[in-house]
Amino acid sequence: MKETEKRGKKLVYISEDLLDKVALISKQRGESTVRFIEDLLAQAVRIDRLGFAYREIADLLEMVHVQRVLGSSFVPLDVMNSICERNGRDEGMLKEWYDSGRTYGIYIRDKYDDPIQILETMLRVMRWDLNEVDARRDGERVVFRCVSTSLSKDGAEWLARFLEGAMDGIGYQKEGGEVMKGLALLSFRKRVS
Amino acid sequence: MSWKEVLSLGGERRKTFVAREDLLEEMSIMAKSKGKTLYETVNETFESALAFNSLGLNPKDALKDCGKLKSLQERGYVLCLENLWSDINTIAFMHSKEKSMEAWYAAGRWLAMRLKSNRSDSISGSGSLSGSARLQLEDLREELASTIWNLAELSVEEKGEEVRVNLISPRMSKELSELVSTFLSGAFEASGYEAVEKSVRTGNIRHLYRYRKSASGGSGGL
Repeated sequence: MKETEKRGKKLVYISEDLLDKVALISKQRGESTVRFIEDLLAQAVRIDRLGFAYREIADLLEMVHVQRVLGSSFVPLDVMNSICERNGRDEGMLKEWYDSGRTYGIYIRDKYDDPIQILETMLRVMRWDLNEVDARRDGERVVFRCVSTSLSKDGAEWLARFLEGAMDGIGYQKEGGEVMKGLALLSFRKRVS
Repeated sequence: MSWKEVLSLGGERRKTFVAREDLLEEMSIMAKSKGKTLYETVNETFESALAFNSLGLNPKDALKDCGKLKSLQERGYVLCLENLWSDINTIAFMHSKEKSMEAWYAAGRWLAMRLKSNRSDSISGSGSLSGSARLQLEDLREELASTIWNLAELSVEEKGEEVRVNLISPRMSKELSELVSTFLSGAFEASGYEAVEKSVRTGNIRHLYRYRKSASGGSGGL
């Protein structure tokens, strides 16, 4: 007897509408509905263990898609920190971060209905060394707050330039802000076209 | 038939289906930790599966990608635009070639140490990394392939005591090619290999290594 057959079974309630739709997908994929549903539940548990919310995954995969389209790569954080430590204040370096941010900003402005939300998600996906990322909106004003216990002063400056570039690409101009070790807090206002 | 009943609760029609008890128990724990009911959590899982499907994604592939992302996060990588990465490395290289190479070499060594330490036979009785545990070349190849997305070609071939590495990435700048080459040197030299041949051109890195049997443990090589 297979391991799975030894396990007990139990009944659980589900919305009829959802169950019918999922059953249809399993049929389209040529899979047994019971197995398909059990796989989904097992995945939900594993995704939860990985620290992701199941509902966030579509966003996350969308961000991976954006990164692929724009030509990203996974880079060693240690090397990046080492470069930042040695050349963090180099004006050419800061300009590169600004320009890179602008590339992202223009792309997500043209592709998405809510580019600010996308930028916020993107920072979470790209910069998992950040402990907190949030974009607070107040009418035409947006305040980005990025917190990281491992962010150096120069690293925060790089991040701030990237954000400025991205928001410029989206159509916002910088109003002010604070950049210090562990924190980048920047406010932007929508540009009058 | 795995689902039988249809109930109408609060205007919503519900069915029951049969699933593995252990899975449902885990779902219940997950639901409780989020302050939700099992019913809500199962529904959310189904809704997400439908959303993936409408995006043309297979939910199983989605999980695989998320697992990869999480794993790369834990392995100390961040996502960065390639041209930005190339440009900042070029600037750093211009400022100090030696320091840049040092950082990349150290990152390569660290990678080799990490890959080797994953293996149960790599830790000696005293707790140090054993020199006899060879770097698993497939692990290295997989690491490079999953982190460099625009690789046109990557091969890591072992023949006896020799390993030939060939990496082609046309968008890689001259400076970055040199730095990635240094990274590979760090990984192999820390694993008891010595370079027999090295060729680095823009976007094309070719190395040949030979395993040194005398490679020592924690202090020298690995």
